Amino acid sequence: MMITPRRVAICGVGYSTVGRRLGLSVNDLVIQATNAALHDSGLDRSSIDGLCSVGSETLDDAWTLGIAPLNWFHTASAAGPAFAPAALSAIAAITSGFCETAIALRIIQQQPNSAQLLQGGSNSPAAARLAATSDKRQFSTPFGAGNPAQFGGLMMQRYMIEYGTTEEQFGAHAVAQRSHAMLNEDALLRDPLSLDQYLASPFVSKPLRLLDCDYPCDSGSAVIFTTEERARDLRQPVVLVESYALSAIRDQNFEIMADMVRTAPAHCAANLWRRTDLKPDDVDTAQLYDGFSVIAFQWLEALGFCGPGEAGPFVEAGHSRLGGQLPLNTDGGACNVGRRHGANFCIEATRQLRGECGARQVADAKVAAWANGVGPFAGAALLVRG
Amino acid sequence: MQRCIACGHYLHHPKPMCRFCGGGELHWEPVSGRATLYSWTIATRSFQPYFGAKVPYTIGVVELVEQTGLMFLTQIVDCPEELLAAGMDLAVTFRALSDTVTLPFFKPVNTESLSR
Repeated sequence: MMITPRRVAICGVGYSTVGRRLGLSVNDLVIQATNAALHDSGLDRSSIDGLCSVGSETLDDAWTLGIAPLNWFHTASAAGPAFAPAALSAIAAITSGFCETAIALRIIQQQPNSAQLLQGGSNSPAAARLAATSDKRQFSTPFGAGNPAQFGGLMMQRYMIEYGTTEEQFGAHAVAQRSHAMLNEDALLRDPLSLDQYLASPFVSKPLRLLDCDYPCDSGSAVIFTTEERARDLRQPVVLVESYALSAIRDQNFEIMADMVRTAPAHCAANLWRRTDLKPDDVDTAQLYDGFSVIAFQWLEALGFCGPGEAGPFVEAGHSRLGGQLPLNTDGGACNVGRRHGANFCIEATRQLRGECGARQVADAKVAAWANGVGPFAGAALLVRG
Repeated sequence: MQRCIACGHYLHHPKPMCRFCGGGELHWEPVSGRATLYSWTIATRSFQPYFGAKVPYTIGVVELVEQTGLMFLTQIVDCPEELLAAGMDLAVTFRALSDTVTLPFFKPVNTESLSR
């Protein structure tokens, strides 16, 4: 029997309680996020026959949740483009007929901060990590490098060298995202932010500032994918997957990429556009990974929303704000909603296409792009109102 | 630096197989220690106990002259921040951090220009 590729829809989205060091276990986050997405979709657990996660063990989750039998399951590595491997492989599994309805999860427990890492000196968690260091970290840790924020600093510096992007332009991005977060009751950071406040915020790894970084937190995020046919029988407005792409490029080590400005998002975006008749101009809102603000800039250019090096001026001109030509990260981005590691972009894109975003709704949104990752790996999808 | 005997490409990080030609015969070869500066970041916060007293310091990514795209993560020393520039010529300087640990850092070649 031939299996015909099927169109995939998003029928449910949801979050756990999200916040700073909530004391929630991985199980707690999985249960809360799954239940929220099931409630959103109106589906019962018995309808789920596929499960995929980044940040938890998928089969443990299935046993905890009492979801069985599964026709498809996969635990994706956290060493990849955030939520994208879970979401995109769930889409592929449904497209191919592997399963009918799959949940994709991204589960995050907040990491120790630098003070906690260093507490205890030679007996500290940081020292223990160093002692356990092997493989590729032996080429960064001894130089006082290897922290993701330090890579973010290297990438941002090179971007500024090549394009002349200013710190005010990065600041304009932080300010625009915060203005969106102020309209999102679910955001963790909602106080007004000015450009001067951005410029006064401390460097973590110069030129990277604290306000260029996503906001660490505990979070569980869940998205339920199913066939278009089944989604049409469910209670939420149908949101369809138009195209999707997952990419990894040769250099698997962030710090020694020979080109830090044009990385996996460029490769991923080319595939994404090749798989659709839609064009960048058709996109009404973009939800682009902002683990560091320069990553969102790189995605704006990779996806063709502006030319190479134009992201800074594009954002500074207000085009990424609500009401602008391409409202970007309308939930406030991970810098403000907290580190939901890419899942928030898929969820916000879905909510925009459903038209349920209230004060931050993009008028008549029909097409949304969401994207995760940077550097060695990337994943992205185009969603359309069904 | 690790180098593939079959195709002559240098590899960093070292691997058990040449990613350029698939060759499995790799050996170690000295390189000139000359490089140009690709990017840098000023570490202002420490994530490891040893580096707590060392901040700020300059983390650099340099491209070794032996091969296009042969990047090396290091620290840039003996160069004030305001004189760091993309493409500047650098030379390796081995610094003993303890009796057992010596690391290859990089410093500007043209030290005269730094005193101006």
